[in-house]
Amino acid sequence: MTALALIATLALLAGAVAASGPADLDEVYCALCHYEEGDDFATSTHYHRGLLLCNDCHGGLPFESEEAVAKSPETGFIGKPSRQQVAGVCGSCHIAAADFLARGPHADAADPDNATCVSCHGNHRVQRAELTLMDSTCGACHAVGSAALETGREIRQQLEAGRSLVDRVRSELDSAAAAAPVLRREVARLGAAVASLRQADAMTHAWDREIIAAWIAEFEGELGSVESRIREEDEERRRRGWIAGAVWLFVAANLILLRRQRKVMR
Amino acid sequence: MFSRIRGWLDERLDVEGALALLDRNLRKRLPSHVNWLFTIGAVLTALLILQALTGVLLMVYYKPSAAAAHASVESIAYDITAGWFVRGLHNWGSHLIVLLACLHMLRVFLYGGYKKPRELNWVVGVLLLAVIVGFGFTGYLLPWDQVSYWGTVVATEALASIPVLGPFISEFMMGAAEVSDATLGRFYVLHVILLPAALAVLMGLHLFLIRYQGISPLSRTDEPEPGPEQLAAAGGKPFFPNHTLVDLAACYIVVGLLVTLALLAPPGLGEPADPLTTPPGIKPEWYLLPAYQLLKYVPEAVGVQAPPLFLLALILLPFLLDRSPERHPARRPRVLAAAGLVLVIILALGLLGHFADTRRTIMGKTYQFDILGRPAQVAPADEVSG
Repeated sequence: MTALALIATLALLAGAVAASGPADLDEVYCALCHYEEGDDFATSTHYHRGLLLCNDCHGGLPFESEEAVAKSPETGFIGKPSRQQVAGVCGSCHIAAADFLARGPHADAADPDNATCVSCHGNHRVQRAELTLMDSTCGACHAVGSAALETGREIRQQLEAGRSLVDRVRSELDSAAAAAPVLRREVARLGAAVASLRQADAMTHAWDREIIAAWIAEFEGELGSVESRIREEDEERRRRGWIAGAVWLFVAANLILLRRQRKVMR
Repeated sequence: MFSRIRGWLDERLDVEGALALLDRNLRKRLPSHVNWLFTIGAVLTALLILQALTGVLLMVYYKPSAAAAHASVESIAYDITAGWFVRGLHNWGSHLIVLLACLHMLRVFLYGGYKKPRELNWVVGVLLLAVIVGFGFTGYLLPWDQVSYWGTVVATEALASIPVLGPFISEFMMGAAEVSDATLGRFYVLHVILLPAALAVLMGLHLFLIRYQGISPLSRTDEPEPGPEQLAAAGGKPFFPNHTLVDLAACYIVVGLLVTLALLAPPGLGEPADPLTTPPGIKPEWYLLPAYQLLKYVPEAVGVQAPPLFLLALILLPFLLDRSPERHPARRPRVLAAAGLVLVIILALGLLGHFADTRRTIMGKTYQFDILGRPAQVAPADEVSG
């Protein structure tokens, strides 16, 4: 629950920052010299969503023209983060991902053979992380048929199944709620399940099938109860259809009686 | 036991005399042209009684404050046993009442029932229609969801554009500078106390005048109206029990339809009202759509006067607009043609309002209708993105 609240808070913060839009990179002094990095950064999701600028990872003052001032230690300038610093830099925003990374096989940043955040996600050209990222990154270190790749494949299957389930339940809910307004209440539960699935995405960084499986089971339980409610309402609608049929039988019977009475009066 | 009670009452209140008077009135013969169309009034009476009953049940749980109204309606719709059904009956009942009231007036118009000496009852009928629309307008806000809130905002803003008196009327209705808790309180009092009181008085007068003056014949107004013997000779049947059986049959059918709608299409409830977020595609109820759509074609200060002017025209109909002595529809072609034209314009405005600002697929092609109701075909690529 705390994790969900944290995610929601971060999402709100991200939304608030994103609302201001990305800064004009022509006004960022870092990009005058580091123009290649600037060009790469201009393609990143961090920039497009207006989330970050150079100083968020490197420290310093990006709008300061005096280099000595912009890069002074008082501004928190660290330059290029070391291997050991990377997880901390990324984790300052991606708190859950950094937390799970620290529990998994990639935790030891001191090991030069171990991957850090940028090994898979890149640095300046960071894109929105999708499950397909595994296709292009895991194989760079892990051999085909290795236990690590097998673990990744299983985790990916679990998460993809979760997403398919969300899509299916959302579609069922959309069509069912049009006929049964009470099901609008289930939309909030679907939203909670989707947030739960996002949390599971962050859990991939631990590369632990058990953690993911336990979380997915909880998520499936929530969606399962949404589906049960849809089925209950479907059954209820059928029952109401029968009641409506009975009402019309009653009306028809009374109309026949009234007609007979009218004939008698004639 | 029953006869003893009746005897006791008879000694004090002349129950026998009252029942005899009632019996004489109920057994008055009707003109021979009276048919199924003449059952609408009885059906309306039944629906209004049902509306009062369901309204009282809803009042038990409804909380008329901006902070609690939406939650209380949500509770009625989703939590309270059979609350959804009672709300469905009340909601669909309101639509059927407006529809049938319009059809009833059209029937009276068609058969010239507004002419001398029944002008007063016609005026009462027009006032009843205004009260019924008032019920719809005030009841629309009570769920306090986004659509009802913003629909009321649009309506009160339109009212404010009436020259001179508009701002005063609008602010008087809202009880504040904008639609708020004060507005909800006012609309609630109107909906559950003032309008029902007005309805009861007008309905009583309407029914009394119908029984007192009888159903309008088809003869000219300058000819004497047929008496009981002439009505009987022309094949006219007594109101009770002959016509009441037909009334009852019509009531069965319409109440059956109402129950079916409440069972199979319970009304939904939108998001709680948010004065800071305007939702897209705000529209009033279908019966106010023609007036709403008209505001888009003419200056607001002019368009907003159309509904009261229309009501005024209806009131003045028997006094100024149609004073010919003819009642029979076949002998009033020009009046019927003019009324038909007005009806077509109202229906066209309603349809344009229904389609305006929507995207619809018609015969395999998708059209985007602008706010004026003009269609523009959507290219297949835009269909996906839109």
